[in-house]
Amino acid sequence: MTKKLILLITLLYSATLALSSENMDDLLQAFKSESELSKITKSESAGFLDIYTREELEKMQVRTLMDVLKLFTIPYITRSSNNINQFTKPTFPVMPPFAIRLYVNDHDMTSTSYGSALMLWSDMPVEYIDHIEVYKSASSVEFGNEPGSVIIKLYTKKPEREEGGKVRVTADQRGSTEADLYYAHTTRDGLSYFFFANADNIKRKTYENLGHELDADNHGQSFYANIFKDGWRLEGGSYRKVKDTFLGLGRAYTPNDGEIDNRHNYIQLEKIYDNGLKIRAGYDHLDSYEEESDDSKIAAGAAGYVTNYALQLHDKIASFIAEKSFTHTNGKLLVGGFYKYKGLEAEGEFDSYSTSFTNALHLYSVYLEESYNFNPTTTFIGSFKGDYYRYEKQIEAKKKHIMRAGLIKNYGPVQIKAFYTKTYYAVPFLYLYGPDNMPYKVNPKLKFPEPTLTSLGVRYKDGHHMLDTRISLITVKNKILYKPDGTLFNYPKGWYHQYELRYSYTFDRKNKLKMDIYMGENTSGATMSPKYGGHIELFNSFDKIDLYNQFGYRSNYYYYGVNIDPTYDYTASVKYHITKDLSVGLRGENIFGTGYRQSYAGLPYSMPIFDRKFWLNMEYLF
Amino acid sequence: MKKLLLFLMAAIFLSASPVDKERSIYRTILNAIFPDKEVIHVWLDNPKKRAIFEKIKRVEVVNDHKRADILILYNSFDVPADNKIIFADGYLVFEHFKNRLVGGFYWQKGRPNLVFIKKNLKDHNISLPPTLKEYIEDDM
Repeated sequence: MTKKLILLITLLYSATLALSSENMDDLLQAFKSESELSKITKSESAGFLDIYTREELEKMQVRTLMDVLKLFTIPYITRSSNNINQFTKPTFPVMPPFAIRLYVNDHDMTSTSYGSALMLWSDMPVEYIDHIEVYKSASSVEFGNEPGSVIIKLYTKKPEREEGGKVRVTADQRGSTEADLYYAHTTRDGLSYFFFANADNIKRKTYENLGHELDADNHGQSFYANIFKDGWRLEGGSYRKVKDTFLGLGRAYTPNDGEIDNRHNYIQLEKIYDNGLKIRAGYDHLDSYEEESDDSKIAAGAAGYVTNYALQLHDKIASFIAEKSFTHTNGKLLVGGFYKYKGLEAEGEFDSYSTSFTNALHLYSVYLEESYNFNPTTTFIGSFKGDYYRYEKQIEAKKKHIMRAGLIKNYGPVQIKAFYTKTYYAVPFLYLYGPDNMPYKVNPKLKFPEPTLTSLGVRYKDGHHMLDTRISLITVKNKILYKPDGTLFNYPKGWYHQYELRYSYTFDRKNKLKMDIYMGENTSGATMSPKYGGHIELFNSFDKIDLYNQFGYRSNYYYYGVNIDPTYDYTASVKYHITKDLSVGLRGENIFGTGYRQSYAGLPYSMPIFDRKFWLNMEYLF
Repeated sequence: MKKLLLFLMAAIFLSASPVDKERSIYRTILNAIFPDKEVIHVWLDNPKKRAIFEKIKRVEVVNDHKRADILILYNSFDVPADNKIIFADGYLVFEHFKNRLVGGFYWQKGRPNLVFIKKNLKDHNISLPPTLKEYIEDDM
């Protein structure tokens, strides 16, 4: 029997080598696929992992992070009445943004006022991003930063692989335009650099409510650059987005005018030593302006109901991080710590009433994580993180901690992942104070929510097939909810379940099918957002043509007195490679106009989240 | 016997790695440049790539470039001015020596590139097999 097996394996191996030496095109394609950066950066121990590879992003012809967030299952994307991208979990209303963390390389795109800067960066262009990793049921200890249970990691393109540049221009049928440019070079003495610039002017469909136009147009600029030499990396980015506020914040959604202007600049210096020590220092500056005018009046806390509403926020964040990995015979130990300063200045003008406040947080953190391999197929993960929050004014200091235990077991093609995480979410200033609670007063009773996540995942991967099931039970102590008047309060304890099933079939290196379905339910049994959903994606390449098809479904729900029927989104793209360096493409989004919808308090009908759009795309590599 | 079985299974597994794919690419390149040589002497300036070439049949990695049939360069811009065949393993070397090297395999524009230069192949009397003709460029 053994001899037959050896013979079979030898034949297979010989055949593999023989085939691989015959076709150089296939070999180059295989080398490219096997060299995907995601294979180097991914961390299986950090949670349930979904990867959007560079090849997939290119076939999808994505422009912004939003095009990828649209494919998220739990949580999934929606938009608020004032045109901010926010997340919700099945059956839940919109969730606070601080549980979802966004990283560009190792930089946490944080915010003092909102906790996470994802609300701004969810529209960011991704032409300079190589691939995207999404970790769910995560604790973020492994990434050594602020707590979150969903971690989105974006990795920029590597200069040493680019060596050259790209220009891309796109336009849609509504008159939107966008341009991207990047360039990378490595010098003979090993210094490499990469820079990227983007500008867009996006036109969205205008609606009307009670004779008032509802605009959601936006425009923005983005810049990113990095320099790398001898283990030192200096990188920085800048992103500005100006948006019309769509329905706005008024009681009857009859905006006269409204605009949100957000900008974020950051810089980070990182050094990675040969002995595994990493040090990072970063500085972030965020400015947020929101101005609205609505004759139906906007709730502004103690200022009452006002016609003119203006809020300005200025965040300053400085961080210093040091961590070191110790590799031992049975695994790896990560030890680290950081200090973060998060300062905020806020000003509000509400008709004739004005107010302001300043405060700052000093956050100290130490953490360690052990990945211990009992044997080649069994890994135990244990993490601990201790955080100390010291505020300059009014808010009492807090000590918080995160504990996490995990087990990864491989049985041939089957991988089992189990995680138990006791964590917390830090409530940012804007929620501690309450943006509408004027004049600003600290809510002394508001506590940090403390979720406990118990998750089990089973993945089967064999040949062309990959099947991944995930089940999570989450209980939340001190869950934060909104009162009807807009103020926040703690709900003592709640729970929810979520289920996810993912399947992919790889026909060959150029053709792949991906599917997912998801479901969730909460304590109350109420369905305030779709309970079920799913996607089917098909990636194909034929000769010089790339094809991408995406079908999405979200189930019906009833919220704010509005019944929303099941919604279906069909998005597809086709790209023709005129030469290796020049291509043209067409991407249709929500092609049948039957895509996802959202209801809002006080509006007697629902609104689409995404427009029906057709983007013409041209790109040239030089 | 079990060890042999494990070894063969490991070989299959490794055949999916980028290292193995790179080895297959270089095997094809070297066999095409030296179809009749019993032993191909290769000199490398990148010690990290040594393991890739040492496992290619008919290839011997040499420490003295004077013994080499081909110099595979990653980051050397100053090599003895003899008439050795040069092949670039990096874009910068390819650009630097493109007037005399026979070809290069390197990352550029986010993808791996394989290029042979017609004039320089001719200077070394190298005729590539039909399967590689599409990678020959007239002029760079």
